[in-house]
Amino acid sequence: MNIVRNIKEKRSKGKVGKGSRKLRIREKLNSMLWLAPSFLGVSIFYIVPFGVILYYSMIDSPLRRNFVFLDNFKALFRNDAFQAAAKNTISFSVVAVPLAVILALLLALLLEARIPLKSQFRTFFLSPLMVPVASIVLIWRVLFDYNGAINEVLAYFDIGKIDWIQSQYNQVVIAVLYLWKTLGYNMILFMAALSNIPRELLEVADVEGASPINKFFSIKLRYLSPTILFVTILSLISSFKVFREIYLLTGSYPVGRLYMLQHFMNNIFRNLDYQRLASAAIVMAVAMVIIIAILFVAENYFGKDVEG
Amino acid sequence: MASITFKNVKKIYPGGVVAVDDFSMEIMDGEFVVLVGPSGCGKSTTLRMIAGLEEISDGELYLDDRLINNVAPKDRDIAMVFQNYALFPHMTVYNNIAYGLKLRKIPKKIIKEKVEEVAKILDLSDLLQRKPRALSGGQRQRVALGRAIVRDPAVFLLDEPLSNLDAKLRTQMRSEITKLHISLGTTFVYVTHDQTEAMTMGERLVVMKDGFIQQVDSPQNLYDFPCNLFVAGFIGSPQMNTFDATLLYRDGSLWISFDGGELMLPNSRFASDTIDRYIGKDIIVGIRPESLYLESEKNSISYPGVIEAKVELSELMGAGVYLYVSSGSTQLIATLPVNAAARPGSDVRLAIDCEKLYLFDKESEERIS
Repeated sequence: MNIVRNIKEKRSKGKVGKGSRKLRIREKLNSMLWLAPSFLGVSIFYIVPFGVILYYSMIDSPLRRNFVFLDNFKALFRNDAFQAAAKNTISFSVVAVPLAVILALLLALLLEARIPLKSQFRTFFLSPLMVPVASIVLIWRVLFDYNGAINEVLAYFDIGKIDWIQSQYNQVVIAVLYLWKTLGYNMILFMAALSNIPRELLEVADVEGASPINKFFSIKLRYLSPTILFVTILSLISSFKVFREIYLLTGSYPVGRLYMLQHFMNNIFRNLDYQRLASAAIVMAVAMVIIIAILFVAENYFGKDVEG
Repeated sequence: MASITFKNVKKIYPGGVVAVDDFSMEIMDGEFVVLVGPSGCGKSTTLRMIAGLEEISDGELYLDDRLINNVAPKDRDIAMVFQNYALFPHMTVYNNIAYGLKLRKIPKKIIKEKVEEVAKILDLSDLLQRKPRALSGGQRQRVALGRAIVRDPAVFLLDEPLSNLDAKLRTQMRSEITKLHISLGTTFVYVTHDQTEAMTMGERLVVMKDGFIQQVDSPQNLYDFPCNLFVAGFIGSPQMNTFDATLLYRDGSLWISFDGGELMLPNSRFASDTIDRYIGKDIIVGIRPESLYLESEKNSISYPGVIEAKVELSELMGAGVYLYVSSGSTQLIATLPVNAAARPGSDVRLAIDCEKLYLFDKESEERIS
């Protein structure tokens, strides 16, 4: 580090003469050396595997290894199972993710106000985080089974039994499970962000005559935008992970609307269909990158003045 | 425009901390009142209670004749300027100033006229389309002032508005705020911990300590007649010299005896029954640095008393010099003309204007005379 500092000092004094190029190369080598360990880690676990997947997605079979360019992708998009899985995943995420963000924000705003039993509520919403998925599924089975608790309650009101997991409501059941699991964490993130909003700004708004709704839209939302981005990305990722719950509830081939992209990938992985798996993974990665890029651009535009 | 009346106002924070206690006073319509005191004395809390940002725990607060204890901030017709400006970072200067007007659903044309008028007064006309981050500290503070005056509120509340500015800008803004008060003629309540700001700006000063009002008076009266040792020490720079002494009666006159000498008190000022009760007792004596002179100038004072002292340090201030001296164990600061500058360690003879001595009770720290 001393070398770097010395060079910088010399440079700022304008004393770097003929040897400056040599020094600059040395400086570069030096910084590369420092970066090497983490670069190595990222390469082994992310960059190289991604390259391998990309390669697999463009060959016809791991044995023959003929380059077929986009054929695997074309086949993938024509595949009925993929289409169904993609449709289900999209329809689930489009509904569940905004709900997870908006409901968590509403809860955070509610808990920010002076209400009784505040800390109890906070614990209540956070507790699902501590429960392992397997045991959650057990409870859910008891609740939503054909002979489960909810149907018993419905029977009390003379409503016929519904086979929740098999019915058209099954995505709703999973959405509720997903919300139950993610709301608490999102809420805590929002509460932290809310407490970081400069208090004076809200006080000025009070004095100037802003209503609570006005304060929310003209001030709070601006300061929350980085957190909204973060929470949305987190929720999106965990919305893909509902596979775990569905798998534990229904196995490899769930009915209709519960068949998600991960089921598709899990099943083709089991069949060792490398090309299809690789191309599906690439499609998903590209879709994620596009979504996150859009979110980032929106956040940059919306929150640019309030940060730093 | 409005007057503000406090009747035994009290603020207790959750946890039992009493921030303001038994605060009673009336702020006249159009007056410039400065709340001054060290940090934690309750001055900001008092201001925030006027704004409605803090609940009043006990007592009554009136705006004119209206009891406003439970009136929401937006219905009080007040405007507030904060220490760190509190500008909305995502809004332009124009929108910052227009914020309150827009919320009141005032027609756009009138808002534009008003904002432009205010911008002209505060010299912000060229900056209206900028965002706060592209402004200097002084400009930001002017925007904050603009947001306050554009609504024509009945009362202005200013919470240490100059403390984030550098010294030069502070002096400039000080006079600008004073001018603003004169031209608007509205009631101003100003909070500061800086006694210079308080002295130069306020028509009346409220000196606070530990939640209690110490003294309410004009700056000159506070300076000349401080009611206790705290006010005496807080108002004036450099601080008033204070030291322990004993009050004596000898040869028909009162004397004070302290470690460093004895001084005779002029009968014309120090003759009263109250003082007589302290004869033979320990008291605290105060003398302002500018009431100390070089011995050579003692003829210009009517009641000089001379002490011998050793110079500890002299600070040249350009127009004069602060001489730190010790006489016995008594430490004193004197503001003297430049030619009085002396080396540390040298001996000096100083004349004290004995008419300007202040005597304080040692226990209660109240002023005796």
